[in-house]
Amino acid sequence: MNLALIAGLCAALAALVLLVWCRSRQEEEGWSNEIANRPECPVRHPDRALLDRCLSAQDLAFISSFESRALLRLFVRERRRLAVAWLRQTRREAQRLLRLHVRSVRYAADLRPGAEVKLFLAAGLFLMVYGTMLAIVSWYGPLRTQRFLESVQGLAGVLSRLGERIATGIPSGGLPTANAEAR
Amino acid sequence: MGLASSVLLWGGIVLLTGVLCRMTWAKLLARYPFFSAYLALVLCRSPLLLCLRPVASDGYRLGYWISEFVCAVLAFGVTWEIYSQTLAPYPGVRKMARTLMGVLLVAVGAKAMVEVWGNQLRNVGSTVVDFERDLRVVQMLLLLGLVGLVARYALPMGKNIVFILMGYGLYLGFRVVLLTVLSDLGRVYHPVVSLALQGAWNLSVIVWCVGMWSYSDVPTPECQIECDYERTSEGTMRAMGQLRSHLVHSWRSS
Repeated sequence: MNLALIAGLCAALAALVLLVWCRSRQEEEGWSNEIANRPECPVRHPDRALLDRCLSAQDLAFISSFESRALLRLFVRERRRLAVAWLRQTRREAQRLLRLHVRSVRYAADLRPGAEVKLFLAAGLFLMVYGTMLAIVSWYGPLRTQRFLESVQGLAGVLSRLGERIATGIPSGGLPTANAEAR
Repeated sequence: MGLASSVLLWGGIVLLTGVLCRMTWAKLLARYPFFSAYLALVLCRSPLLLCLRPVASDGYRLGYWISEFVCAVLAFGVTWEIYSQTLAPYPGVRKMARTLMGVLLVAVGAKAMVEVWGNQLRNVGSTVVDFERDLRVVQMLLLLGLVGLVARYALPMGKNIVFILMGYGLYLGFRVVLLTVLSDLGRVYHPVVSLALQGAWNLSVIVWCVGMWSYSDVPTPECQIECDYERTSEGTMRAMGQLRSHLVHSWRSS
């Protein structure tokens, strides 16, 4: 067996033990109140108005009217920071949801490993989307990200409509088979 | 080297006697039977091996490997103890742990079977080292799985169990790394490796000495919240989906 793999295993074990040690010292009381008052749909979406303001075309037009590159750069930098803050707020909400979930279900006798794995994968997918968005916003800024996402979504819509048209164009009897053609 | 080895060996014996005495005083022997038996076996083993010296003799080697094997098997009991003590109030997480450990054991068992099948009997010395290392790796994987679950579900652990886990994890880590080094060297014994192993063991015994000084109950919250798992799970899945959709679709111009 590879020594590096084994050293990695040891490091993972040490890190997990440390994590457990830190977590065992955390407060539990706040969570029990939140679990007891858990509503049917517990998600608290980060305010969309902040993002709308951040992506405002009027603000951009106003700043561009000064024709100052330094001012425009400052504006874009500030908007990028705001957009990143909004994204992080979304990630924190996802973390809160997951913590609320594990604290709610850990006493449940009918806990299903399959459902937990599915939830784990859903959280992984969310983190992947979040990481991609964060990278795009950090790299290109929020305004270009918006245009990029809109064009991607537009393209997806076109492809979807095309797929639908192809599907409706196929006759209900299905495609002719080789045998049928031979006859 | 000889002096350092003797100091570490006798220091370890004294520390181990101290831990066992303290556990007896704090009435911990009955609460952690596998762990106590493991420590007692290791303590008895050292004088027994001293009687079988010199190290190069066949009797010593045989005694050493038999005792190593028995200790490794008993160490599974320690893993079991950590598992049962930590997850006792959580039946659902226990089920999750059983599934996870079952998958781990099947995977490692299949790998070991394939390796043992193709091994020749004349390599029995290195096979014993490899076998023991694989056994320890299995223990480490089981502990990793358990600790992963404990971390994921934020389960509270008692001080005694945390220190057993820390000390045992530390020793296990050292042991697996050093056994891999031995295996890579193609030897079953090396004085420096043996010294390092004894040092790691003594460090673990010090950790246990601190942790097992007095009894500490596993903390359980005063109110165990009743929950409809099906509904909670579906709610969280739905909420995660909504959040993901919100993350992407909020960027559309309104």
